[in-house]
Amino acid sequence: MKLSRRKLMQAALGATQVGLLSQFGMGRSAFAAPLKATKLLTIWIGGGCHWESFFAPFTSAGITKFMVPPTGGLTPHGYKPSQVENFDRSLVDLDQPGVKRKLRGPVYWNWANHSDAAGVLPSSGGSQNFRPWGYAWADPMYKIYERIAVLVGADQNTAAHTSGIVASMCGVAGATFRAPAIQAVVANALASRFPDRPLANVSLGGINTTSLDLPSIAAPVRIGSPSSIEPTLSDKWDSSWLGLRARTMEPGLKFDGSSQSAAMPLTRVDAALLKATRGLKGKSSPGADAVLEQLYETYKGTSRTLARDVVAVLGQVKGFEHLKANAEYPINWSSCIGSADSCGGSASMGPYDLALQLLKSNLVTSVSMNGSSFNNTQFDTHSVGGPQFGANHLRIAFEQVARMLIEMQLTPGAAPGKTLLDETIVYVYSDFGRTFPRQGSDHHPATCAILAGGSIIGNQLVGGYDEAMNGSPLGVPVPLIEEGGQTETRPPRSQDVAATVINAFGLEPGKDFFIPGGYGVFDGVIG
Amino acid sequence: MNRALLLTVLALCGCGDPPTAALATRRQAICGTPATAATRTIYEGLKAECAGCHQSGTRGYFSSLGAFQALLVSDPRLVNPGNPDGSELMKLLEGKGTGAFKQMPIAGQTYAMRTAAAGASVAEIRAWITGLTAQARDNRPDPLARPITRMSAQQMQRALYQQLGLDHADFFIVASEFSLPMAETRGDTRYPVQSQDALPAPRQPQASGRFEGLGGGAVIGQVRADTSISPTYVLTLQQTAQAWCRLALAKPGNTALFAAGGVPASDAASVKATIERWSLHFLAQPMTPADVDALHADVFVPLLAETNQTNAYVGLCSYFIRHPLWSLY
Repeated sequence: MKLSRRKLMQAALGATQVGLLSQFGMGRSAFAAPLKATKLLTIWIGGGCHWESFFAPFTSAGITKFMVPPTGGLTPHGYKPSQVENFDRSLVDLDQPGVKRKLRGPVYWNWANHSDAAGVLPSSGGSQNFRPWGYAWADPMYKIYERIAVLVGADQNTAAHTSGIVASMCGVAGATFRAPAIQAVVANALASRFPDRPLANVSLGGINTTSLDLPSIAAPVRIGSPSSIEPTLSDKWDSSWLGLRARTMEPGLKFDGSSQSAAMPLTRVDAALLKATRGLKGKSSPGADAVLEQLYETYKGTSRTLARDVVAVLGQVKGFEHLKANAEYPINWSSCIGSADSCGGSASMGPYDLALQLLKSNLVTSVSMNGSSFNNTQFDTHSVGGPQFGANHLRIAFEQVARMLIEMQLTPGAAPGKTLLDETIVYVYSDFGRTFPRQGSDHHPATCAILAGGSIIGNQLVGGYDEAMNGSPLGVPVPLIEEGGQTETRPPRSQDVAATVINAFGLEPGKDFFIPGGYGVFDGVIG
Repeated sequence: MNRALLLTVLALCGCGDPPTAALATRRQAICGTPATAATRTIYEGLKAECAGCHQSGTRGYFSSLGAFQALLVSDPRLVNPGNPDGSELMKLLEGKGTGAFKQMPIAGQTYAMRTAAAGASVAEIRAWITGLTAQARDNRPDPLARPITRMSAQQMQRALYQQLGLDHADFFIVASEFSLPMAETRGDTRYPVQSQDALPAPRQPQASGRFEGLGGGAVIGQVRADTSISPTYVLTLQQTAQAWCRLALAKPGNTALFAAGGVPASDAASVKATIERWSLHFLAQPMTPADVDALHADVFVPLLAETNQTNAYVGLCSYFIRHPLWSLY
């Protein structure tokens, strides 16, 4: 069968057919276009979010139709049109035509005293109290909203958790990956530019950032907790390494025995293993050789990682260090639901500090992590109180996301005059959305994605929901640049979000990557 | 195309070659009839109704267009080219199936009754089958398919316990929390490995994290099992293998690695005899004398010179556990 990329896309790849990618050179990291970003941070907000509780993608009529009126007192949720403000405090026009609006949402914080967690919120008509969390998104001191675009209403093609997460991670819904995860695609594409990064694709939790048949450099390195780094990524523990640490420089050989340019620092056992693995080549089928080659390359990669002593490198890098200069943003901060019905600290919202260390260390290309509200609170809330629970915890979770972005903006980048945020694309996703508050709190295939940093054109809310429909509608058509280069206006899908994230690095759709099922890039989001 | 000409063409394509000949070239000629544009249209049209059940497994006709062509269109038991009424596919869609199932979908209305708005009408499917010519089917195994995989985390844990003479008590002590039995580790420096799902459950997360590093899944933690060859897997196995080999060698009375227990002599003959035995023990196959000599010279001798015989034996032991033939099957 003569295969083209288009046919593959139309057919949608099965997992076992992903090997066909190599026939198109997709397996190689041959990406040569100018880089628009050099690192990727992805944050998975688990469970499926009430995105519409934090952002306001509706018109004023839509708010009335889909949201509940302001209620909740110290645990506020719901809002009316007059509570929505642009985060840059320009005059909001909820009924402005088109699908691109400034970043906006219901404001629950007190602009005059944004630590106020008790005062009455006048715009609610007295039914809600101020809550400070979420203010970091709009703090005029940092204007982080200028670096953030929110893509609204992408159809995940599923309402099942794992399938939705997979859709957010690779563009194609399914119980298993039918395309490599975005994180792996980016790690692979940038591998040739940054060969000194031993940890190209780090996963700090959540579903593995699967690389399928991409080269081993793109395979995920999973770090379950900070305490697991030393006994996994270093040779420090005597109980494993006593007497085995010594390395000698050995010729760098490929799996087929041909020479590679750089010599490799190998332990005695590593060198013998590589030799034994090379000796197995050609004993079985090419498919078996492919597995052996993957193992061989992973042996080499992990040997380099251990020789690099990444633990020592990480030990010299701080996580949050700049934002704390502002006393209003301490590293460890607490938040509460209600008066103090439940509270928790920022350290329990996910491994943000470790992610920062990794990004600053230049050891990594992609870091993937799980973000939450305090005490690892996730968002799969089906109960009657789900919208209220979700809205209040989401503000807290997103406050930490914004603080992370600000810290990255304050951190000098590797290139002169650039910040870490300039060099990094940040992609925040969830499993899917949730049905709008008037319809409860069930799984909703239409989701949103937050893109920040790099050359993302910020202060944008792109897309919306079909307000002519009842219930919880899907997204409205948005302009998308299709794989063929033409612009089409259609409702966005998970493939389009994935393609936009990958394209934000400068990778060209159809040339440097493709996603089964067809895809387009959101128009006007990447500068 | 007449039969003789078809056979000639097939022979020229190399389609009659035994698989091994094709394997030697890493590529083999494509012999099956390719999917046509019309086939693709039908595939897309049927997919919405059929893919839900036929996406994977032995009847995964809709996992891809290639699968549809190879498994369904080219199977004369299902599609009889030029003869829709003689095609089981058509019969199933119209509720006249002759096999175990009378219709597809299995229950409710037949496809013919329920697809007024579907992508492929019965009339279109009939026309497509009528227009099909003989479909050649390539029954050879795909040489690029991956015929091997690696052991799961659970298999590795069991195999290492058995082959190294270790057991649960070497890593955990009995504990309980709220009357629930827990496995309290004897220290993370022993590199305990235990699934979150295990009973008694590991009390410290490091043990389950290491299990997941080896690719183990956990229902309670919603962690999917993963047998890919990732850096995490390779690193975890390396660290664990070294630590566990050391534990096994130090364990009093442990005869799993050495019949007499303890660490034996380091003279060349003893070490080479150990290598021969461990090759059978861990890899289930003998090593050639040349390979034994090489491994002795490349690993044991330098490690002995640099450190001591215990570390040299730990290095040898971990070599076998990290060897591709130990974990791949």
